[in-house]
Amino acid sequence: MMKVTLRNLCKYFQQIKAVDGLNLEIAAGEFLALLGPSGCGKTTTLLTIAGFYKPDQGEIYFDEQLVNDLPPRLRNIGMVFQSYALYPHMNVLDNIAFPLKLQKVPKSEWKARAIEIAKLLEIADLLDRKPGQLSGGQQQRVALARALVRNPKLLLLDEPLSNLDAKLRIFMRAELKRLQKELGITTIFVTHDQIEAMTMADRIVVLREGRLQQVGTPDELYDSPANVFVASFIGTPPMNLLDAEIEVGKGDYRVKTSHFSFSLPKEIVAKIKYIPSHGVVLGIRPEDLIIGEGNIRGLVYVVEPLGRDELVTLEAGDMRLKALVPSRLRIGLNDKIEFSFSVERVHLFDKETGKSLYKEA
Amino acid sequence: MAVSVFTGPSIFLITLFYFIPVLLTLLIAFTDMDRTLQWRFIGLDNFLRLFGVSSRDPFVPRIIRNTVIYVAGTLPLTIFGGLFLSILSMRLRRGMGLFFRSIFFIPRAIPPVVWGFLWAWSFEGTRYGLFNGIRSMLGLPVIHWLIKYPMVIVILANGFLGISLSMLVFSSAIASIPTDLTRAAEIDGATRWQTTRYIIIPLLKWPILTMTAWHLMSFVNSYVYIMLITGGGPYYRTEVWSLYAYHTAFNRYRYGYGASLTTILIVVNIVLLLVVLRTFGLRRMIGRGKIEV
Repeated sequence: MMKVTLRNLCKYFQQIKAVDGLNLEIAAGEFLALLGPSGCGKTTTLLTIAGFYKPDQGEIYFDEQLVNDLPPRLRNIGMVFQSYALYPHMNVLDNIAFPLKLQKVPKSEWKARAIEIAKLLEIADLLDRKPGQLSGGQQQRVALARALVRNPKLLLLDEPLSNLDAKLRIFMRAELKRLQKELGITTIFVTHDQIEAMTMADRIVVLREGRLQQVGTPDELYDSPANVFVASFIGTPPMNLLDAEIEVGKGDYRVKTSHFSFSLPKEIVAKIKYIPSHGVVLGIRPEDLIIGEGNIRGLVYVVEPLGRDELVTLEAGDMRLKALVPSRLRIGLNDKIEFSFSVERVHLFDKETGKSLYKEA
Repeated sequence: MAVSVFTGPSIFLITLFYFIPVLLTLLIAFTDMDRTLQWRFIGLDNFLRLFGVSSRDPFVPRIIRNTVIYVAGTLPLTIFGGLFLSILSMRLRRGMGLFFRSIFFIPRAIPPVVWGFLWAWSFEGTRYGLFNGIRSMLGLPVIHWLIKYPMVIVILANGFLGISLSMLVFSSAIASIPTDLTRAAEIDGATRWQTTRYIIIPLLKWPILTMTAWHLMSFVNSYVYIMLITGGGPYYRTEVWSLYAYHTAFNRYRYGYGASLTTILIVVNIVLLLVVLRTFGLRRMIGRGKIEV
């Protein structure tokens, strides 16, 4: 188990700041997700930690050891690539044993260890096959076995699930999470899929254009997004974001949008750091909308059934809002309805900076 | 219908300039045609002479030895040299590697006569030759390169030509190996040499086999550069089979005997071709790319 520390990590490609001043501490045994849209610097960060890129500024520590200048082969890490990168000319056994053979481990031992890890990953019956004869899911397990066989101190996963079909992806999500906890190995994985990050990681790092947006547990990110970007990125369907203003009366904070207004409850007021003069962004999660009761009028624009729930898009004034409601409501297209939302669960952001107005976020 | 329209012209040309000459050669091989262009059938006499059964040709053993030495020298030089240079140049930065490869591609880009004379002139035995010029500037005596080491020089001249192609083919094959594979090897603890040895070279299996087969046949038949550099000499020391056939037919005007020498070459080529097709499989050879990933 190893702790990883990134201190002011910067990596530039000509003018582009791929990673810009990243500070991060990854605890021993932690399962950490680097999450962001494509081009946010998550893969660059991973490849820098692996040692393929040298940081332009800042330091990387493995425990207390500065590893900036350590080549990848001496970092004792395991890595699973998005493409799995299995050696096409070697069979599964030789693929898995390759790291051990390089260390000149005697044959009886490398064979035993490779078979042991293959059993753990349930691929022991595939040892004679070439990678080309394996399914995507099997290839992934082989890649994982090869990454784990020499007991690395750190495991890096680059979009490990993105090449699997939907059903297998959900299965492997749970398997990977279980395996990581069983082995207790510090793991960093890169994904653009917030569901993957939410379901698997102990903590999530949200990146955008090379800059850190927020670090936290899945719940923290979901319940207290630090800015509009995190709010819109985390959660499916994404949070409704509406332009609004806060009017301060005597002991009363009123949020006004173009179509409706409401008073902020006391617990929210207590959380607010400041009231910006240039307006705010009001965030309401789709599941916090209540349909059929309330004083806001709207029109049903479209209904998307999801089985257990239904995703309803409402038109209210010039706004469109998404609501996640139980399926039994039986709402039809163009129905005129009333709706409201849980005011104690709203989010407020500074319109100019996009940052949350709440203290703890 | 459409098939014959499209393939017709090339089938006609191949027949006219390839199959008919081969057939003519086969026929002439059984005659005693000479500079008078008069001929009569003499049956297997040419071949009997060639194989030393009757009135044997004293040069044949030497020509065979020369050809074997020549191919055994050029082929490894081409394959290992090309492999070495491509691996080396692919490690350089992009621009540097490109520059480096361009230089080694020059032999193939310039006309054969220029390349041939460049070598002949460089190793010229008087102080007007390039290397002897340098030697005399340093006060050293001239060396008669082309008399002392004629075979080495023709092997080098042809080897570098082979290298220029094999290096290009290997480089593009290396370039098509996904970065992830070499990165994975690095993560697994491989040094650069180990990555080359265990990942890159095995993945070049097909390009290496193709280039070996291609150059084997090419070198067995080659004579142009030898003719330009040494003319086969001094005294048959670099005379290979195809050059001997050429000299016999077009210098000594013994068309019949020259044709029989060529016939042997054709048979050797057909055998080689069959071996190559058998090893590679025609279907696989004309199939899709052979960098397996």
